[in-house]
Amino acid sequence: MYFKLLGIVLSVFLSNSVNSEETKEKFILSPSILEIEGDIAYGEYLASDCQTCHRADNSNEGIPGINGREIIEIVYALHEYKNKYRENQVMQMMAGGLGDEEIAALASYFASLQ
Amino acid sequence: MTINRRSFIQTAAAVTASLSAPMVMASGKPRVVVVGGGAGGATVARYIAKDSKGAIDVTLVEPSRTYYTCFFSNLYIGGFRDLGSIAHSYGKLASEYGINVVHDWAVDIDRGAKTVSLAGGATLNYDRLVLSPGIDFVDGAVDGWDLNAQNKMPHAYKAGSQTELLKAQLSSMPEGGVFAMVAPPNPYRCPPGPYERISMIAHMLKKFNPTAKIIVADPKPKFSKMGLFQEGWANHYSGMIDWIGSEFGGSNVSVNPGAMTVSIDGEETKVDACNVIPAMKAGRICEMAGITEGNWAPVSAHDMSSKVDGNIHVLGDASSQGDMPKSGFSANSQAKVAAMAIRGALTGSKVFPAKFSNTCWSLVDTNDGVKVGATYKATDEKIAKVDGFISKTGETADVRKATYEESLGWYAGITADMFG
Repeated sequence: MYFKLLGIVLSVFLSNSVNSEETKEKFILSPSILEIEGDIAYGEYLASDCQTCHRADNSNEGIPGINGREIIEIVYALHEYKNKYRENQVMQMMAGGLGDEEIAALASYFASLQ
Repeated sequence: MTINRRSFIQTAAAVTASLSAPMVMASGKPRVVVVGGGAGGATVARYIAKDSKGAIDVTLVEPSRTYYTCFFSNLYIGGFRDLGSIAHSYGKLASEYGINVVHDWAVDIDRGAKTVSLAGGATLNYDRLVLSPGIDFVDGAVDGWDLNAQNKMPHAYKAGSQTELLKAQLSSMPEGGVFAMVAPPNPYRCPPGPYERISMIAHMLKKFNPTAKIIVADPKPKFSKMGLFQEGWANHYSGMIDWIGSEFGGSNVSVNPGAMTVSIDGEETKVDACNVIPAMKAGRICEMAGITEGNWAPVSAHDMSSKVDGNIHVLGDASSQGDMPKSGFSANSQAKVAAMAIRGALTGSKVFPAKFSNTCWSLVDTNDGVKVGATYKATDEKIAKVDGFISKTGETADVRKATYEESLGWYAGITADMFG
């Protein structure tokens, strides 16, 4: 499990570093955040707020579907929005109101969906 | 087990009794009745039915068989959507979620007996009642206008035939004609709505009737996304729109639907089309239930329950809850908090702290979208704003186009979230 996680971290890092025009410092989360076990039931409740825009059928019209993505991808995306590393006012606001446990819960829930 | 004649007769009598009783009595499940099938009502019905997995009987009372969303109805006026694209049926809520959809008007609520009476004569029993009736208009709010005049001067603030009528009247304005809007005072449904509508009307007239004029009489000194709209009006519709705020007499208005005139601060103008959006109040069923204070129904921020009766929850425009604007997004967000609280109360499912959010997108012109949003939390006093954002003036065309495309995604998302 740990190796799998490490592999994904590495691939996220590598895919970021491929972009030679990227001058921003890499966004790195500490292992203590990545190791949080998400509460799926809590994630399901929190996700209802996301599903106003991110459709339950996972379609990609204007706003991307996020069901079934890797936990680490969702955790990184939400922390990047929260820290304004990624652009999008709505997502920066939504993620800005989430704690580490809530982000882990949401990631576990969305990763569990098809 | 053997059945003797005596016990058979007793059993048969019990079966007969249960058959003559309403189905909801026979099931013995907790019952939730939802009045109003918009962004609050349809969402709360769907979430309770979906998440309780059959443990709660849900009845949705909504008079319309086809629901036209108020959000995006301005885009229909502007020519960006057809009417069919904002029309939704309740079929999936019935067939996929097992919701008992009743197309009728709720005309009375007996809070003691916990019943809802319908115009068709039936009575529904509830353990929890959700009222999400949207808005009605305050009588006498605009001098000279009442519902009898809504065909001459439509409000178009409940979408459907009124929206079609307004668009038809705009389309048949003479060349160089005058359109007037009487804007509403706070608080009202969809704060940027009147101004997005002005933008969409200007877009339409610029194309088909470019010498036409638009007058807005506004009882407010400022309005939602004012800087963004005024920037857009100057950029796209220069010289077409005359906005008259309260400081310039915009609150001193009367209309004469027969003569098609609008008087603003004593100056009478002949108009070719007129949109009167009167002051608003909670849908009348809230008043009939005796849960209003002033024009709105005050609720607890923790579960959207009425401050007068804890067995009734009020969602969306009709509620008085604190900092959230009256919007479809807000109603949808509040519905999820209420659904969780109601399931918790009726089935013991886990209840988490309430969280709310809202974003309102508006279209100013083709691919020129702007947005405003905020997150909220429940306090003992009210729903309190936590954080927010608003589009900036001077944004690039790419950003504005992305904002518009995001709004299309949101529309598809929220309507799927409401109607399944």
